[in-house]
Amino acid sequence: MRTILRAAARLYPRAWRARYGEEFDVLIDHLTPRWRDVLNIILGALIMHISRLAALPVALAIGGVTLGAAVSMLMPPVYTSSARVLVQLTNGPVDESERVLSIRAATDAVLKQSAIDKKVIAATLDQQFKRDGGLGVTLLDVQGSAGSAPTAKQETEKALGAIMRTNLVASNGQAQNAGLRFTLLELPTLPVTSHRDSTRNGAIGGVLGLAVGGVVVLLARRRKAA
Amino acid sequence: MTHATTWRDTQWHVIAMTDPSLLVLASLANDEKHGYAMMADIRAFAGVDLGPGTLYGAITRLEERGLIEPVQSDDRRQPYRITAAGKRHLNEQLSSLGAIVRTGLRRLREA
Repeated sequence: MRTILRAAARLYPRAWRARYGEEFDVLIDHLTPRWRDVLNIILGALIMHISRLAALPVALAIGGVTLGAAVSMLMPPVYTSSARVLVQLTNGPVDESERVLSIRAATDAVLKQSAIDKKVIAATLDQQFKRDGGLGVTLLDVQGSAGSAPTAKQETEKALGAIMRTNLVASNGQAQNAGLRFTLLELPTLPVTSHRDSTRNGAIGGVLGLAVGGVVVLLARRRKAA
Repeated sequence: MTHATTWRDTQWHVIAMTDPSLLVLASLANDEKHGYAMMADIRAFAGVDLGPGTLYGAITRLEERGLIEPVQSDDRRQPYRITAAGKRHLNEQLSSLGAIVRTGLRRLREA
């Protein structure tokens, strides 16, 4: 057991071992060995590594998160309007699983064909498929975002219009390929609240801070080694 | 065995809950000690069983902050003593904790 304690003590950073290693080993020699001491030493070594090596990256990451969140707060608010469309497969495979795959592929094709601007509009397929009299159906959430509530609503309406027009085209020419029927379940909303991308920007700031800190620590170590 | 909770008992338990560094400072307050002696002393006066990793984590932090310092010794067991800054820090922390303990106990008696 004492051998394990001594081996655990080797996990401490080299610089720490140079300063405290000998007296720490003497302390271990005087202890009545217990498993909890092994865990305590391993945890102590881990904390020492984090506090010594990661201090700069962690500090920069925290700074990055704060800066990212602060920048987000200074940026204009974003309003998001949403609408919901029921998408049904009017023909196609009889098998349920094949119908689910078919409706996903067909809906994706329609969304692509309607040329929705991904920067402004997010149109996502609801992951939760439902059954409707044996027909595969899905829900299509259409969202439009803009700097004001009315504009966000207009963007959602534009996206809906694009999807519906695609459906009409599909009905006339490519109907047999698409085989979809759209039913508007929820009209585009007029958003009453806004949001900012504080979480995303904070995360980006944190990752950048961590990366910069890591590079600085690596460079400093190389320089010291040289 | 039962005994009434005294101000001193409660204060040490509050310290134990807060920071091993304070326990180390309290252990060194009257005399220099090496690591094993600190562990035994802390176990005796506070009823806290500090692990070796926790003890040396506290010693490292306290030495870096200039609150304790190593004492020249021929013994392989390195003794430490509290510095003047360490005494001031310990006094401030204990005074603050003492106020919390006294207030808490008084309010419990009044309730």
